[in-house]
Amino acid sequence: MTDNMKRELIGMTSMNICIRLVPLDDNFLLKWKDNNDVPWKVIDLHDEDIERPTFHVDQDEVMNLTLLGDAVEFTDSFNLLSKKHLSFLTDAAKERFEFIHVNDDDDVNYDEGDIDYIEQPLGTFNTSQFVGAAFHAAAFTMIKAFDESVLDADKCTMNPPRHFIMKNLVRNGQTYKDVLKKLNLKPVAMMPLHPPHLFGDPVILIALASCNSFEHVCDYQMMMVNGSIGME
Amino acid sequence: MNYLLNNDEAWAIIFKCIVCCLMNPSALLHISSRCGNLFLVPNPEGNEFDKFVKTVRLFEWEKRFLHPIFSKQFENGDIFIGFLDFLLTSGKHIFQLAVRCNMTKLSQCTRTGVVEYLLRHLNREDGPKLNSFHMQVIMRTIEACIHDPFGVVKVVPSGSGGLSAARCYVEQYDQHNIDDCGKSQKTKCELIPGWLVHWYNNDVQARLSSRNDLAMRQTNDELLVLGLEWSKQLDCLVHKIGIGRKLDPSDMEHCLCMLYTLHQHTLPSRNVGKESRIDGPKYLPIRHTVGECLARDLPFMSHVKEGYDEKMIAYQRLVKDDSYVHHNLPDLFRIDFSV
Repeated sequence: MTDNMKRELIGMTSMNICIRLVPLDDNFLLKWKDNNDVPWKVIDLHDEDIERPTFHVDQDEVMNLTLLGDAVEFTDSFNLLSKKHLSFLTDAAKERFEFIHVNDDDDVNYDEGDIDYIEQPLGTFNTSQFVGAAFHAAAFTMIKAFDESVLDADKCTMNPPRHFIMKNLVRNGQTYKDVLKKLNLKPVAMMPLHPPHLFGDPVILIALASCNSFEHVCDYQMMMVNGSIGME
Repeated sequence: MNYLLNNDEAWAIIFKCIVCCLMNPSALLHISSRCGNLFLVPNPEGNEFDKFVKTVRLFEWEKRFLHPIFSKQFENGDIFIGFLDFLLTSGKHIFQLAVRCNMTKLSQCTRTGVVEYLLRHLNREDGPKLNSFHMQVIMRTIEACIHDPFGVVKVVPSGSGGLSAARCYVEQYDQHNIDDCGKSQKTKCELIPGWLVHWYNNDVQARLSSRNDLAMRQTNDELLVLGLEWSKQLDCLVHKIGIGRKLDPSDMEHCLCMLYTLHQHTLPSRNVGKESRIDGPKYLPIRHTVGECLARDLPFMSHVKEGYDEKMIAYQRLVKDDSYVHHNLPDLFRIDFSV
């Protein structure tokens, strides 16, 4: 069975999401029937008009909403639902469809990409928080890069951090959620994770590989003696 | 510094590092695999570069070819290729002069002077407009491959995230550096990455030299997870992978940016965001496949993966050890919404 076949199987056992557009005016259809002046427009959508969401979905959140059990797998549906104003359309499709455009004086911003996040006031940090955060972030940077992800129709699709936690940190009587909460791992396991130092940065790793610098661990002390690097 | 001034190999490294910085890692790996370039980034000399440029031109230019930090600096592919061409013809000379012009009497190089020199000579009318943080990104990448080519790293330009987090350490910095209390906040923020390096080195050294077996074991595990080790020769922390570089203010600036990002994620608008992805173009894992081979299985990643199992065992040991003060992520970064 190939990965795509497994994905299809998972897809078939997933909940189907149906989006129903409800007009604000209950009698809208009647008006249309009686009066041809009411504008009515058919929108043609094609595959390329839809942005296929590829984001992680908070599974528990969806389960809470739907009251479905653990066996149900969700991959992208919740994300699709949470998109407002048909913003799952591609930019090209948005340009084609007049109704997506908004006037400049409209106070609703339909382009989510342009919304700046509000900055959280930071307060003060201490050095202990600094080491603690770096420690967990270093581990999860590696986990995201190298741990297994499970794609199995019999189990669930698990991303590497979840797989690691389930396999190594969950003990008898505990759930994934318990561990995540107890250790406060949500920010490192479920969010894009900035590496704690430069050697977890993809740019540096590719640069090291390109310059063959993985193989050349220099004798720093010798270089200092030679004077090829300076001392403070 | 001498290596940079007297060796052609050094210029090849600098050129490759710049290309790595400018491009989105996924795009770079994709283009490299299309070129059949085993070394990922083209050499400035020979026909590798021409092949690389031809391959880039095969694609319709998109901003996502660029690393997010540089995405606004290159409006189109022509500016990007033009900048690389300019580097090929003048880059080596500019970098060597940047070092020569900033040599002190003691044959040391002042890094801040190098940043200013490079900004003056790399920014041109028809090219990208780089700022000091862009230069920092380029220089820290070069410094990951060559030891201190621009002198000892003491003060580094910060990005906005790193600067915001640095401001949160001013209070603690003042407590430890009473003599600096009169300095402006801006100056203190510039000094904080260096102070954190100094503080962490001292902290680790104290823990390792204590006679407390538990503290020593925990510290060794912590360093293992962080990819660091204590160098007795240099009397400081060094990175385990790569050229064995010292932990320096560039790392700490990066770490401050991480703290800022982690903390911002606790804001409600972000933690249940519609884009709750667990990856990003700046972070691992690198999104790239060659056939069925994921980026993590490419040969160069084996160096990064080395010792992975050992690290994870150490991590589990510490997380399960309630006596380890960092066994959970600090509450400062707690997201209170239901998991």
